[in-house]
Amino acid sequence: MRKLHAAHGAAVTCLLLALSHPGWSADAAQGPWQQLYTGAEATGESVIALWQFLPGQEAKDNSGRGHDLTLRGQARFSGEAPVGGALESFPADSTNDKPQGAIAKDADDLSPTGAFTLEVWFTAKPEMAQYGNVFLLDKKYYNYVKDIPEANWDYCLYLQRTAQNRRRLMASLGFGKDSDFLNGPEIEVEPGTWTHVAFTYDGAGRSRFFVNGVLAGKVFVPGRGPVAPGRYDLAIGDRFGSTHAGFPGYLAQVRISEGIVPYFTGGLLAGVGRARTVFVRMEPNATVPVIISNDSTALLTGGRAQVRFGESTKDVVLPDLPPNAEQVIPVPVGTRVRPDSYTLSVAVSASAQGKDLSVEKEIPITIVPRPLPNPMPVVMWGGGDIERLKAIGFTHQLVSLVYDGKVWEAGKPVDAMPPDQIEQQGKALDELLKAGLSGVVYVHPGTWVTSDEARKATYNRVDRAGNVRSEENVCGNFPEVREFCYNIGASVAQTFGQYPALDGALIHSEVRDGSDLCFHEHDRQAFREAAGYDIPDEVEGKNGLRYTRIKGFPTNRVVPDDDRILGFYRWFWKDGDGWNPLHSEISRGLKSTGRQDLWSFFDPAVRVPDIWGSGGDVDVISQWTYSYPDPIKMGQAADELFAMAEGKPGQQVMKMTQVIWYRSGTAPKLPEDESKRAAWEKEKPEAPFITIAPDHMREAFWSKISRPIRGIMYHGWQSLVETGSTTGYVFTNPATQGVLTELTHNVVQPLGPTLLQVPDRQADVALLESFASQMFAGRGTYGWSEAWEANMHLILQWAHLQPKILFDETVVRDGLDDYRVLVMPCCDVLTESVVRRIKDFQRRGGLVIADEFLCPAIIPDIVVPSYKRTGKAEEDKAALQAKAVALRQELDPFYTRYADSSDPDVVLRFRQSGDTDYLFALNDKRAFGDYVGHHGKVMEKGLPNSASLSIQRKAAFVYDLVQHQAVPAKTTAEGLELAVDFGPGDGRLFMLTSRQIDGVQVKAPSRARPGSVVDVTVSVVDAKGAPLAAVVPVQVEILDPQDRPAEFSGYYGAKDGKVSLRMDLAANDAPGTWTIKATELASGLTKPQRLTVAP
Amino acid sequence: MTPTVAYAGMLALALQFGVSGAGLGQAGPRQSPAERRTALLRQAAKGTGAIPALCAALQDENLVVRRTAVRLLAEMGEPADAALAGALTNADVLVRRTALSSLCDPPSAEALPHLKTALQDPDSLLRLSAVNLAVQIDPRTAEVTALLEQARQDESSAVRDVAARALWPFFKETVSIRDRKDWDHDITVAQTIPLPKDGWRFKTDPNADGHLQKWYEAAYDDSTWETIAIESAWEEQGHTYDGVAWYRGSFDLPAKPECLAVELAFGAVDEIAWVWINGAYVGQHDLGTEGWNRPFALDVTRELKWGERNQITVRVHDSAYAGGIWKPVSIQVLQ
Repeated sequence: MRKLHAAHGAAVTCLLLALSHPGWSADAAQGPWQQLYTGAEATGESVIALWQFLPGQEAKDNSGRGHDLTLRGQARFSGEAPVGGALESFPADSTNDKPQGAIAKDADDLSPTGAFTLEVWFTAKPEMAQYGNVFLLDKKYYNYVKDIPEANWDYCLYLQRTAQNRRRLMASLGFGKDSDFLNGPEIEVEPGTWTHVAFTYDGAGRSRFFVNGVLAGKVFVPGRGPVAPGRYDLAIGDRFGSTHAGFPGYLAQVRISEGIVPYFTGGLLAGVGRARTVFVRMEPNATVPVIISNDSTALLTGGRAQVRFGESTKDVVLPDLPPNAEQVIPVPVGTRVRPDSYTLSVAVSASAQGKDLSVEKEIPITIVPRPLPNPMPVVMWGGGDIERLKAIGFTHQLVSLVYDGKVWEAGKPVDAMPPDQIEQQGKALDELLKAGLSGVVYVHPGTWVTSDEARKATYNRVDRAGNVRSEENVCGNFPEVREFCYNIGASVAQTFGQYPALDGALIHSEVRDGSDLCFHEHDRQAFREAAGYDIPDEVEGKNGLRYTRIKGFPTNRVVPDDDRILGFYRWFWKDGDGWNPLHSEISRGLKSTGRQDLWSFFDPAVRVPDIWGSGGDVDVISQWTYSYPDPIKMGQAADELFAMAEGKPGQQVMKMTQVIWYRSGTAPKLPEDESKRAAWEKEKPEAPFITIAPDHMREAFWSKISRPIRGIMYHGWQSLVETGSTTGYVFTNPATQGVLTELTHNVVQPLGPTLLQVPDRQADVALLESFASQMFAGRGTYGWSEAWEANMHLILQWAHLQPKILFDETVVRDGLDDYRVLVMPCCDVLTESVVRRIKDFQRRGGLVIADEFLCPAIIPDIVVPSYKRTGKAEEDKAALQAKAVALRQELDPFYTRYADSSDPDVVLRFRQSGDTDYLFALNDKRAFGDYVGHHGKVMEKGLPNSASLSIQRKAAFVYDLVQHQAVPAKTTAEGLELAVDFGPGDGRLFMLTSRQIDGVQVKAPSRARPGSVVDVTVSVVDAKGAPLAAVVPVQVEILDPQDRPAEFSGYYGAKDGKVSLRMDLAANDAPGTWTIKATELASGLTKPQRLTVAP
Repeated sequence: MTPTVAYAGMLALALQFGVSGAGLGQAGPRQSPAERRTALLRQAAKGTGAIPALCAALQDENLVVRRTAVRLLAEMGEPADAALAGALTNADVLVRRTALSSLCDPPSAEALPHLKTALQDPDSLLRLSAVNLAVQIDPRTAEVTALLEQARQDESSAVRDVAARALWPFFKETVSIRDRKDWDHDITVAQTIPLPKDGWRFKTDPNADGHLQKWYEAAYDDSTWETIAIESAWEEQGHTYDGVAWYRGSFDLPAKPECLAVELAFGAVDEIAWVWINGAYVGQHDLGTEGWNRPFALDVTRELKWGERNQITVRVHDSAYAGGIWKPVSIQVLQ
């Protein structure tokens, strides 16, 4: 079994929260590390290698040990450095895709046999900001887990990007069979500023990080010895064997020493360890434990500590502290104060063998405002940096919070990670909270189980003969695998559940594509128990059996509801393949400590046949969709999710847009004529995945937001922002990011709380996606939105219909009484009960639209012959829209739609709250542009458009919720008519109410004392002063006398026209005149109200 | 049959049942299509007395009304058979199809005249329905086979495919000795002889009739066929095509080794494969679309010629996406 790649359970770590001094301190400035090493510091016995890049001997090893350097790539020597000269290194890029930095040939003494010290000066160039990991020095090659000996030798030291101009100092040590990955302090990396870092390892598990001579972190991994000697050359300024971690900057006085250099040793430390330092306002029982620890080798005596926080000061006499001992001083944090940053100061002094030691530390404590109700999540499915995530408008990103192997070995819920990782991830969660962001933990224990050959041999799926299938995919019916999944969830919950920033969990992902039938005895038995008979001999694959291959299959293609083969596939796809129960177990574990608010999700949830249950008991199901060739397919995929969620009351739906585009589907071959290439094709011709076009980003957004989804997601950070990536996801369209930013700021943030409270309008057009047909005729979209069923959905959208997707189960459970039209693409085979429901529906006068594949038992009223896409975007769209026109001609004499558009490219959709309509109109008018259009596969350029929209509704007042203004509407004999203009890919959102908005009322007291409670009610009212029967978007701004926004300022959805909020004024809130200003975002009316806060 | 003729026939039938011209929308205040359809539904709910009105409505100017009428007739069963037989010449293909399906339920020899007519229909939708019904007739008489042979020549590939599948003459029960439940001894692969990757010949067979031209025979002259490699889909080699295609190749074998059996092992063929060795059919791999990535092996102990050059033919059917012999093929000597 593979060993864990970091510290084990008994590890003791302490990472300082922040350096006391951003530069090097006055004391530290006296350190020898600031001088050019000479004499014994340069050539002494303990010096293994020293590179000072001195003029005329730049490549020379100044220790005299002969480890002279060879430059790589563009690297060169430079005269500028705090001491000696410098090595200038570079990142590899598309024009110079070569290793950079310098190399010293492998030698025995470069692999220390015990303790050792690494030192290096560095400064960054501005372009470093674009790169993730940049290596200072590397003799290890692998800075990640890999179960091969050559990945577990020697050492490396690098900087990992955490934010703009901030990086974490990281080290990795190889011990032969496995490695430790050691997290150092996060430090400022300001371009042009020189920083000195040192790393010491005592050869027995204890590592320390020093920044500018000051101890900045330590990690202890019990049971470790010296590093394993390796065979790689030593690289300075790049990773040894890769071209993607070059150091964009300068390096100076690099030294490797045997033993621990005396001026890089431990001492007296003060910090807060893994404790939280960011709290939500009014959070109960908030405490910060200040930890005083003895990191020296001597007994500390006579210790005293003074802790100051807010108005209180606490003096503590410390007991004698032996080496490595700690003393904890709990400091209560009052969270009733106004949201802000506060400082916890600690001053500690003690003696060690007669020598005075002291440390002073200022620890920032942050109180953040409580969240507003109904925020709409904007999830980055992946990771980014906080500044850019926030600037674009993301609210969540994925985080990694569990070591599966640790939990597997424990066999029960345990700490999810080694202590230093818990501390680091805890801090990361706190940083998210401070920035107003949240984390979604990605847990995928099921895939982990089979990632190792030995485990795969035991737990993978097997074929009928009992042979282990070659594709990795765990059999989810092993009790120990299910228990493991619960333990993973519970371990995360018990370790990180206290962090408010941990808000959700992605449970497995893309696992069911690789699922397959499994024939362990427990699988057979599980089916036997569920069905009362054995797995039928006929079943060969997971996707069913063609009816053409089944002897005696009913000629009318109607199968009994209890058909043996169908029964098997129902069982398999609901529970039998084990994935849904595994998801449920994780979800149960995640909530085992009481965090019921922690929402779990599974995606891509409709990459399966259309039968309820995908995702098990997760709270949310989601699906990713590529917007090409037609962005309105985003809505089709969303509608499939809603159909799936029908089977799980309370389960909600989110929808992801892929930021990445496959080249194969958009721009497969580089034009031979260079002049015909797009700008990005000239700059990044090899990009395998490119950025979604901006107009597609916009249109896809409107397509999904028009559905009652709970949140939106995006994947492909490296294609959304410039990260320097030249392989994999590549940033090829800078305009896309701006579009998303605009949409999150102008639509999601102000209108999200409203949209989350507005349900769908009851559809009267249904589209059946038949599980029986999928299992017996190979049908189904499997979530790819490419099959004919999906294209039929697009036809319906272009025909200005609002279809609701139904599964067989929905039809059987609910019947079809709510519908007037049933569309049945690819419904070759049906069950008896579905046929009964449809015949009842037809007897009632319901209209059936189908294709040439329809089950002979049903006779359609209208046939829309199927269409197979050619791959030519314009031709395909025209063909499908022509079918929409033809369908309208046949359907319209029998069906009156609620709304219509004069332009076929304008797609309409309604949601409804009470008698208030929310009309979404999106512009699908597109042409080939100059981004990928020249390939003919995607019309990516949106065009302006205008249309007259007619709605079968009388006496309505119309408001543009994005522009925040009333819209003139013409009353006609049939209802209303609106003239609407659209920008490229644009969407519009109108609220149609029975009563006109006449004003905003703010009810609040005029005076209040600091620390008191203030109840505020905002109403959006009609001319009679009655609140509107609608969910109205409202912005509330609460400003203190210095015009600082107070808690609860933000956007609301005023249900039934009202918002109530309760302000808890803080004792330290500013006295004086406050303003509570409410603006309804339908017509833009505002009402300010004054509040005098005085003692 | 032209709509005019069909209309005349229906009108006669309607008059026979005593339906006035007004019911056909020729006089009086015009009802909307929706109203006419609703009226039909109401009448049909009362029973077979509605047949004349439904017959008349088969000529309605609105296609949904016509289709509603034929559906309601079909739901009435035998009493409406005469009306449905008349509907076989309706101008609306969906009306014709509904009538055909109803009259041929269950498919039997009695339905053959209707099916013959339907297979001459100008609309491929009806011909497809007809051939789907024809293949279900049991027993498969000479008359049925002739009908299917006719359908195999149809201009519509969908119709041809159904007929070709039904008429496909090659089948061999194939159970690898390794999977035989009655074989209670260990089987080991003593020797593996890979077949060449390159040098194969390739030809698409959109009409699915290559076997009628004996493309599987060892001596067949395939020199005009294109060359192709295996171990990669045909799309990757420039053939954007879904349907039936044939591979032909040859390979040399050494002297016969000691063996229990010899199998031809395919890494995978996307999707369905039929295999001949030296002109002899040795079996198929037919799991439908599920089979595209499944390895399979066919017993070729008797068909191989050791110490000589051997010829192999593989017919492949691919319904979508990539297709072809995309993984290696080898001879496995079993002991």
